[in-house]
Amino acid sequence: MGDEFPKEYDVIVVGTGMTESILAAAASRVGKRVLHLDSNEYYGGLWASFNFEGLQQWVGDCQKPKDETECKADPQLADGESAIKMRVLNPPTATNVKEQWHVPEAVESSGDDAKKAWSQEEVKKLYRKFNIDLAPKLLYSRGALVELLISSNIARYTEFRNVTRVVTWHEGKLTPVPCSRADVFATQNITVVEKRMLMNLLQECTEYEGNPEKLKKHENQSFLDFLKDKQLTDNLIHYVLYAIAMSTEETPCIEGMSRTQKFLLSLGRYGNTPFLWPMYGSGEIPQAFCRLCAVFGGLYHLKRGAEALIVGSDNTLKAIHSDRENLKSNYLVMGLDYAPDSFLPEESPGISRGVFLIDSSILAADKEHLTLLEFPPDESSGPVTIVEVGSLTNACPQGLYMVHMTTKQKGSAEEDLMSVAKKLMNFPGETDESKPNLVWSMFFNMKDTSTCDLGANTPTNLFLTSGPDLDLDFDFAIKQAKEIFSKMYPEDEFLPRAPDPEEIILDDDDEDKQKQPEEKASEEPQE
Amino acid sequence: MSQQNRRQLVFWPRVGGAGGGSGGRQMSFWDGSHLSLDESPTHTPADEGSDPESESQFFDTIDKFHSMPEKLFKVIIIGDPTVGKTSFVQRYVQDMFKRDYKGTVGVDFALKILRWSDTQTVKLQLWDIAGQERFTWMTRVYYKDAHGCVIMFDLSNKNSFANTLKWKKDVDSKCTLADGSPIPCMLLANKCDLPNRQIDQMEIESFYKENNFIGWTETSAKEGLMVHDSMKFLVDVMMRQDGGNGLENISGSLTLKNSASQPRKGCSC
Repeated sequence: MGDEFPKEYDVIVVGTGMTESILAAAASRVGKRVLHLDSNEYYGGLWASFNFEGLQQWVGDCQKPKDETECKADPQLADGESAIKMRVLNPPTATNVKEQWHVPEAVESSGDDAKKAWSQEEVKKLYRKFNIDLAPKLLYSRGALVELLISSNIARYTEFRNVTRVVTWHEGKLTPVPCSRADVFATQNITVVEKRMLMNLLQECTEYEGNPEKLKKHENQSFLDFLKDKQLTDNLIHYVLYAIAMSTEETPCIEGMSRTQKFLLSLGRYGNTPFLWPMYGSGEIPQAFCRLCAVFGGLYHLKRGAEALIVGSDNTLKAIHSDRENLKSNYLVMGLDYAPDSFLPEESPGISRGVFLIDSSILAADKEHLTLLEFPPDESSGPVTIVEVGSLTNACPQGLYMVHMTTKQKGSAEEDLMSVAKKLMNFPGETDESKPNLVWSMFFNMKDTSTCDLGANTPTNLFLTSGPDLDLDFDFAIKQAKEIFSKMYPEDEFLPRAPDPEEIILDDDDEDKQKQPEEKASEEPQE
Repeated sequence: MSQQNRRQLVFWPRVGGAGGGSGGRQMSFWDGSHLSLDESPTHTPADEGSDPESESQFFDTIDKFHSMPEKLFKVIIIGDPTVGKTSFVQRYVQDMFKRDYKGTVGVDFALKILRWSDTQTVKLQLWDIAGQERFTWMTRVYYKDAHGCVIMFDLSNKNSFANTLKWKKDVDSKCTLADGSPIPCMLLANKCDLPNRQIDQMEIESFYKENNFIGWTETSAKEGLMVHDSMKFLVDVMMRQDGGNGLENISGSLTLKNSASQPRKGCSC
């Protein structure tokens, strides 16, 4: 019947995170035989988005004690081969997970109240209306992912919304940052003189590369000093440094300028800010790559992982042992969360995440906004990246907003993020009318493995991939995928454009039926 | 039986049996009038015969679309491996059956154009799972914006029948219609031409009602039995739901296109 599970592949990919999914798609697209596994029953690993019920299960899984026992696999081995047994699945995901309700289980409807009083019951009832990201990410409108989605034609599986405002925290309150030309002219937060200064500065940042003389002058300067040299007002320095360049006081000048440039170049392509947010959450993006992989022949199996790796005497990987079978492969790509302990880098920094459900926006406005806030560092916390999404993105039900916070880990996620959260929203007992009320919150930590050396201890044809990093966008995963792909298949193009569905069109009429096959043959680039 | 009742008769197609034409075979379904898929099935299939739903009402609905020459529906077809999904699509679209059909590489869906009436054309995008996804759950990308769903099992494979419930739950958790209601799902019992049937009809009958399918019937992609009739039934339901004005995005969302303005150097602020 041809329906048995094939036993030999060009590439086996374990894990459906971002880098893994891009690689699976890229290999499948150029005709390689790809098997893509994930031991979870959902796609995305640490990049996944869940509805409210799915998230509860994930939290439950994270809170189970870590299982260190090895798999019982007993693979058949040829001469000189050895087996590296894996930990019992599921892979460890997040730590310090703390989920908490801040509203009663049920409330009686009060009727005439202007502001809806939410209850746990009500939120749970709407569980399908949620798409909660473990690793929320934005796309720069001219960033690597947008260009890749377009050039590969994977864009047809995705939808986005514009981030509609960039906000900063300045002098104890939230203020929108003027970032487009229109914004700069429209804003009343800065004076006319400031407007001119800002325009000049932004102009300079977009052109700095063509001016090596000038560049040299700022080589050893911090971006902050550069801005101060320009005699900008404190207001403007704050906007440019924290909100536009998303920098800190220590950021070197050249880096600050290049960040400012990246921001400015992405302005105006799709909207008023440089950023796009994936509809249904960031977890959609790896799935779009998985779909392309499958359409081009990649084989998918969720809830299935590898129990052991079979390595030859020449330190190359020969096969994986999965579900009592040895599956041969020329290459293995593996998410770091699956890798056996002996392959793991010793130490990796961490990410602190907070997710908050609130009953109105952190900065109320007359329409629903999608907001990016780079919270500047202060005594109690580092810079915190904050994205607020509402029902228009299908992140949460109407009437609620979801706030994602991400920062570099110092203590636990709760310790790292609590002071910022307290500034933006009312915790139970607080009644500041200018702030939204907290309905539900969750904190967790995960590892940031983007800076680790992943090739050190592995067989030569095994590539480990990182989990989510701290950056705002997906660029790191794309870069990593491209590097690995070029090591595996240096001759092949990375994700060439997939043809639009030149589908099989047959009409009811018999004449049409006759004609169709020839037309189809000429249109479709087959196998 | 009157003309209109013909559409609502319950009849189990049997290969080689009497009634070889398509006229007598019908889908089993309930709550035909509004398809509010609430939990209390009140009609038995026999009741359906006297349901007030009529051809004339039905055509009234499409009258609204006379100005709109074409409707587009996305239909997803899911179920366990080897139950015959691809053969079904192939039979429906090309009227062919091949034993060793291999999915077309690089194509998301097959397109079927129906001349629904003199004034109405219906385009169906039939999203077959790439054969390659047969061992797993689908990505949400696959379910996105679907108007209707076919969940298929193999009458000679008890397990594939049991798994239809998992598939139904997977669909319902990953997509809904614009108004938040579940998308209409039709249950198809394929391979009714094979002699070794494992699932009792009464079992399927109560199963589909309990689990909010819009209807079920036996089919044979191999013999071409009930393939067109069942799809007509599904299209009927989708037409009445007033969807299918295209696969447009939720208002205000963006699809990335290359046509967007090229990068500009210089100040864009």
